[in-house]
Amino acid sequence: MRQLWLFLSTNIFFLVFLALEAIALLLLFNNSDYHNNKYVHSYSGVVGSIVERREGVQDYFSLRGANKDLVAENAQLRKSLMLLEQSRVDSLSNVDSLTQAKYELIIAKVISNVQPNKPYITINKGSKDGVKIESGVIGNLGIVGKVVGVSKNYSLIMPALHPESRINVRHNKTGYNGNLVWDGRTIDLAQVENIPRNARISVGDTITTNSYSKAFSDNSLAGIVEEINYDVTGNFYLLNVKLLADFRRLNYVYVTVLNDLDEILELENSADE
Amino acid sequence: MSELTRNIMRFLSVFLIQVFLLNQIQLFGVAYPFIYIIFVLFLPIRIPNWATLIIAFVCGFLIDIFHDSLGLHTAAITLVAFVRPFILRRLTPQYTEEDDAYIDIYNRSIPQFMIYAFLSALLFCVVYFLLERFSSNGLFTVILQIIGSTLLTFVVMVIYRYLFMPASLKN
Repeated sequence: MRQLWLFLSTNIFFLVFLALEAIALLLLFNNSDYHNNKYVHSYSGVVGSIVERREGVQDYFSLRGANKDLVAENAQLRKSLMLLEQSRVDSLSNVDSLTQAKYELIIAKVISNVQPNKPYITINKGSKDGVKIESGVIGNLGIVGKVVGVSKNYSLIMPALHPESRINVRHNKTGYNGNLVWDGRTIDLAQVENIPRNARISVGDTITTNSYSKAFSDNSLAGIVEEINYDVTGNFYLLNVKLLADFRRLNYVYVTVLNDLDEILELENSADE
Repeated sequence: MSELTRNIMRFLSVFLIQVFLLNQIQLFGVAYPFIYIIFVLFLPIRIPNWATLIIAFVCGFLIDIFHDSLGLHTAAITLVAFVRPFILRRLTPQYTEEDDAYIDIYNRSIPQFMIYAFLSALLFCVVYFLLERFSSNGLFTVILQIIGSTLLTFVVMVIYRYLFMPASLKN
């Protein structure tokens, strides 16, 4: 017993170190489970209020960039407004139900971007504001990702640049549909697969979301073809696509919630059973 | 100012700066300043080493909560606190347990302080960036991050050391 005590007291430094380091590593590896880490950890109680306050400080850092984006976005909106005005004059007067708004647009602020150890984006709108799982998220310039977790006031977004992300897209010129995925190699470069080789594709073509996607409205901009490759079978393209959204400078985003999302998901689930 | 209040003040200032300002800063996308390890490096030498470990652990844990990276900072800073006495012992061979009551980081010579700060920053950054294995960056980026962050952290530490030197020791 005395020997044990002696051993403990002479080695206390090392033993305390081992214990603390073990706890730290345990926390790290239990918490950063890549696939299950869909909880909004730090946004409750005291920590939550401090994080919100930190956002206040951080706003100043990104004012210049945000302004620039807003101006660009304004220009974009004006342009589409003009187009819309024109089409209203041109087209038939009775409005088809197909063209009526199917999507709710919710403006949200990114409060925590992708960080080492946390491959998700957190935004400050949640179920209270109408955000639903499987909704799409678009930035000023292009699509950002999909909502994968919703709490009352916050939501987690799986960015398009996430190894598990899969988004329905279309090659705009030819109308062929494919999937937007990410091989995890280069930031900003995603891949489009499953477009058959007979489609005529050239560098610089635009990739947009298609009407199959429940998350995004038809024709939301996704990216631009940067490099053309073929997949292992040689029958399909494997396109490297430069995403238009600037993931490092996300500030305000728009969540597109399909009005009938619940109904559609329910219907599809019942078909699975 | 007593040593205890000085350390508490140092903890609060370093912690707030880290959480509110520096978590936002990345130079060239690779260099992150980790100023808060200053707090652990500047702890008085005479508190027992195992107590330093516990203080470092709690400090890293608090930072982790705000960084959404439970365990990452904690693991790295605890290791730095573990290695600290070995570096200090190397730097001052005449150092003995009895007469260290008045030895503090502040009265080390400049090169000694710099070696101490640099080695600690390097160790912290190596552990930190190797542990964050989920980033999809390649090895090359990790090495760049280690080098960039070590240098940036080191520079910030040296600046801090001269900005906040206790008045009693300035002469």
